[in-house]
Amino acid sequence: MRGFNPAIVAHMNLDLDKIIGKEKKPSKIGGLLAPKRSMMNGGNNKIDTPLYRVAKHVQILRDKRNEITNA
Amino acid sequence: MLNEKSFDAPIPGMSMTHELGARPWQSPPKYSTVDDTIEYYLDRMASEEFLDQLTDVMEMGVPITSIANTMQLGNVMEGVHTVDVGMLVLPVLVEMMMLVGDSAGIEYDSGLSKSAPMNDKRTRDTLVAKTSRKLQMQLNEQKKKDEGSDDEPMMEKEEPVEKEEDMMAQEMPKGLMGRRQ
Repeated sequence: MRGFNPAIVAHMNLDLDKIIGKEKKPSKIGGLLAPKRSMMNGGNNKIDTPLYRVAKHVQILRDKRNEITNA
Repeated sequence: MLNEKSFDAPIPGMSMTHELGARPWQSPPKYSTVDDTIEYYLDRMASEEFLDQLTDVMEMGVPITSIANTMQLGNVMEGVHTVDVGMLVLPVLVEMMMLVGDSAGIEYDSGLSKSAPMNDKRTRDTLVAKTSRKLQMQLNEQKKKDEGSDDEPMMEKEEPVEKEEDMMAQEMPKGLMGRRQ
């Protein structure tokens, strides 16, 4: 009987589209007094989460793997 | 089957048989963040020695998920990182190993699908290589033995046997309590 393997669950539940999503390019607003980041939008906070960074690493590796397999 | 009790479980209170902090996993980990831990694993996996061993194990049909889990568990026990960081790092390890397998061009079992793609009846290259290496070593040993036996004359070998028999006869007990034949 196969024992519980957290690697399978962790890999299966890592939904890259959901975690990373579509990245928006920051709009460039000129001027010295222009806000550097909007205080209302807390969307950038997800970069600070470890899950997001892990998803980013996985995405890079998966893209590389797709390049190899499709070539 | 399910009702059978497992005797492999630790005895209650076993964790308290050592001082708190005596075990590596009870002290602060070497790498506390996910980024540091990923970097640590990527550095380790970049070495050629590790890659050779990894491809051998993967070619044998061991699922990648099992290898990844074993790796992170081992490092948790050694105090490299914590359990929660290990869980977060697991997908990166699995993906990295899959990349290694794909770039090496070997067929591997990712462990993610229910039906394993590896066919058990297929003879794997690593197994063939290992068996041939073993046979070669046995042949070499046999050759060395044969060469050694050819050099020594046969008469010299038989003499010690006769001497041993004489010694046995001499060492028979002769006292009052000695057994008589």
